[in-house]
Amino acid sequence: MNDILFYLVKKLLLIIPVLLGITIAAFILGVISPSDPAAVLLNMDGVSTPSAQEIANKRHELGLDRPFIVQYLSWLLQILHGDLGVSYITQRPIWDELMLRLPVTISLASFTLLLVIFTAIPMGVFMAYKNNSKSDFVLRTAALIITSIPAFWLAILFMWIFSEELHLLPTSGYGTVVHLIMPSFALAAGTIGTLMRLQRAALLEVLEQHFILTAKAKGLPFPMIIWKHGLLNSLIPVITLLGNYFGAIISGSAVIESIFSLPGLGSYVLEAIRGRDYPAIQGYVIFTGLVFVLFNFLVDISYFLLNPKIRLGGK
Amino acid sequence: MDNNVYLKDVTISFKTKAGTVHAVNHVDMTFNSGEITGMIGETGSGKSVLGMSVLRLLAANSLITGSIIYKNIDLLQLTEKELNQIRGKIISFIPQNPDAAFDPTMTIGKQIIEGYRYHDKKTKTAGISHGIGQLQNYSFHEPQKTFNSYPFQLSGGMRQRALCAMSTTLSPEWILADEPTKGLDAIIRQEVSQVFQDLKKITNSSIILITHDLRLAQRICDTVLVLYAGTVLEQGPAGKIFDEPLHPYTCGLIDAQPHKKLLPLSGMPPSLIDLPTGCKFHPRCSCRKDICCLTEPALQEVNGRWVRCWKYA
Repeated sequence: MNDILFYLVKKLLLIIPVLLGITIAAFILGVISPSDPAAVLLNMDGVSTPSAQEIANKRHELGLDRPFIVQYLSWLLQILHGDLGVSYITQRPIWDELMLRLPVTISLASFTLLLVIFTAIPMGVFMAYKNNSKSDFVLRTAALIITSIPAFWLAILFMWIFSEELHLLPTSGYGTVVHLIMPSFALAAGTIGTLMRLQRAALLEVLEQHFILTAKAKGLPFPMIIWKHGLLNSLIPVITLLGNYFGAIISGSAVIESIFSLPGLGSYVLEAIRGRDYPAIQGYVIFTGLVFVLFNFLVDISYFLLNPKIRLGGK
Repeated sequence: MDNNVYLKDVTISFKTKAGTVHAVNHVDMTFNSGEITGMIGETGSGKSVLGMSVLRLLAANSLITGSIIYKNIDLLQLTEKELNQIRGKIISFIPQNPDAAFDPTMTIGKQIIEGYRYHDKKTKTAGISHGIGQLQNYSFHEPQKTFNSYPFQLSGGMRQRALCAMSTTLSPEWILADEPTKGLDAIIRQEVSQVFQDLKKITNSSIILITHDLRLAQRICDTVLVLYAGTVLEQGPAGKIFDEPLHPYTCGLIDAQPHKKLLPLSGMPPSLIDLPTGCKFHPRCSCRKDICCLTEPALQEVNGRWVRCWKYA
């Protein structure tokens, strides 16, 4: 039990520098943005033209004339209190805005992730089982094709087939699982293609190992060998890739949410980018960064469960 | 009906990009039941390939011709499903390299009783007590603890003993051991030869031992088979072969040992893609005659053993 705690604490401590890095990146984004927050705030009504003196006063009031490092630290302190600032556009706290949209993106991402896991891994295993057969070749080609198709194009294709022609699924909106089917398929496709090829390759590599020969020599049937000795040993690279691709799923969701009019974080940040709403973009960067880091923490925990050497502290 | 394993004109080749590798060439021989038969030779002599062909554990690009007969069944003609009834149950296998032979994600115990539970359809509880009993046979002091350990938690010698325990869970007729001392240090090698003596006592199984460790072969084998470039050069009782080897290659192997003359065999083993004509050993042989380069000698009986050399023809 102590081992688990030690491992988790170690991994959690390693997250801290990553999170600091994310906040620095987000802060720099604000600093290099071409608009002056003071001018933007004074010009909010769109009518008044603030004088240089007024802007200078406002800058002093907002603390923008202090050194960057001081600004960063005070900004960081704010964030740690859950205060991400106020949106230029809506004038509402960004934290509230993001929390409002988070469930949509989380459900889209988890649905996508489940889809990826439950299609790519079985298919990859099947391909390795049928290595170099016709079905393996067909699936490999299919994987290559769906990896190459951009998600937005697939989204439009889906809408045309399933909404326009077949009238099976809604083109937009949010509320039920049905609304998530097309977006998550469009979002999952690329990752499914990559992951099934990786699962195939990883399993084939494991099947070359000596211990597979040992298992064959016991007279166990091949499917049982794959299930008991092949799969678990091939999962570590696959899960690592899944951790990395989760970032692609989150960023890809921006496009997909906007195509399917899902009111999630992605469509919010696209709006923010269009309106040059830098605090909102900063908030999004920090927020999704945090989600990404937490997901990779889960990946680390899964290593712990999969690999007894890590679990039991082997050298 | 006896339990011997008969090899009849067994030839094994591998198709590779560089050409066809002739790993084993026309081997005719019998593994006598009740004995430990050692197959010795340098790396690339075809000893492992020949051993593995008995269980058909060779890579997919291999081609085996001839027949391997056990109880009137030709093992080479069986389907995969029929073969799985033989593997582990009647002929079991001790793989080389105990470090890599265990699945790193499964406990030793589970791996030991896996075949037992599958073939004999045993419950988990029955499997566990059987497995712990097996470990006890191979002098594990804390069998319960070892049973629940993962491979990386055991030492090399313990893993080798665990492999032996794994191969005998189903009390097989035959045990095929592939290079059990390869890459082990002197102390563990000593331990392994003890384990094999125990193995013989515990199971009553017949053993085919593939090794390049001549001392191990001398210590535990009843019969020895000397292979070179996929051909049997000499075959006979272990005592005779080690005390007065006849074939120049066997003499060379024995003299090359550190505790003998430490005299290395000159030359390299031949390419298995492009085998020499005549006697396969002639390019390296010190007693070479003209005929050796042209015609391959047959195996002939000399002094109670079989030798393939023109010297004794």
